[in-house]
Amino acid sequence: MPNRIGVTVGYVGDFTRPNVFARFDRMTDENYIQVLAYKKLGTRDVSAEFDSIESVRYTRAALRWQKLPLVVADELSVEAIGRVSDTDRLGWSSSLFKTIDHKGRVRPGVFYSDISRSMFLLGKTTIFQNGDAYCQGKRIGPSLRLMPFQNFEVTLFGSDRLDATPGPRYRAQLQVRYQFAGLLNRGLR
Amino acid sequence: MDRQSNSTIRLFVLCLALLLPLPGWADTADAAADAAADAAAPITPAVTNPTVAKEPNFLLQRIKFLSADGFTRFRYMDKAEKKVTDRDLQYKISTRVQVDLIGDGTTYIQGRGESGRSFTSSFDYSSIGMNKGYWSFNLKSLFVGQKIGNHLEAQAGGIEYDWGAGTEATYADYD
Repeated sequence: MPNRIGVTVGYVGDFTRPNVFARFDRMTDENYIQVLAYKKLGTRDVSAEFDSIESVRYTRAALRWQKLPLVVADELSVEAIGRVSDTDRLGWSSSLFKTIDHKGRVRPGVFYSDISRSMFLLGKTTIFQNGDAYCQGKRIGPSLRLMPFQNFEVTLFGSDRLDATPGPRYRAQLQVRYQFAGLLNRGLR
Repeated sequence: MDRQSNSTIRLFVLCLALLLPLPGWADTADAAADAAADAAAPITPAVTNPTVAKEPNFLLQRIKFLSADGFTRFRYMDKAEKKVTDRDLQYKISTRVQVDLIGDGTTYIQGRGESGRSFTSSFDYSSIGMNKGYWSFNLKSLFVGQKIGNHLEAQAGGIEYDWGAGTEATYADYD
């Protein structure tokens, strides 16, 4: 049996109206159904789901495998999405990571993704938005995560478009993140 | 920035202002002072007086930050040679807060307050770089959750996506 089964019915859209109060009038609308099953198998997380967005149906499956018994990589992520209702389209993405030190402070990685540009298009309307770091088309890129201190993270990420899909060609970013939830929670107590 | 965003920011700042003069900190300081006084005073039998016992603040006991992150990033993007679209320093602030209404989270309200001008995109331009800077902060999700027994949980309102074991590569954007 799965560890978790989630069923979601609601409305997905109004992406440019971020404020929840501006979107509450959609509470009576329904264009999205998700049925997801999630299972943890030791160091592996597996999920499979069915989605319907604006009556376009998708299936999606994902595997995240930590502590991979390989020399070159210790974490693998593989996921695939299929648009199954109107046209058959398949997209997939995979990432490999390797933690270099014992404390997990240095973690280089690489990803490849292949998501068709028309995966989330209905006519000319975009009905869903996947991560803009991956965009659509065939993309490949390296990443490097450094965690020099607790709650502090520096990430380098790059990606290159391998085909002629419209959109970004090169993307590179240097990101710094500080997590301060623990600090706030300690302050509240 | 529209009026609604302004009022949301004001509401958030007001909430922080109300929450941050923390009785918890005051208690810590008082406790330290009491400890010093106790150490100096002769030992006497303890007298318990229930009327003096301080009631814990209802709200502070029930609020928890599930996440609070500050980001800054430098991003470069181009569409083709000499067609650079982004060469900017961006920032992001994101908080997820849960207020337990009943018990230890049996019934709760959860919300995500975040920068960014769309539901999923949460980075704003800082004005350092090619694009014009702007500030936005919105309450992007707000929902009520109810645990029913040991195995069932229901959520209603403006809820979050469920990525399962996947990432934003094939599902919803989350940066």
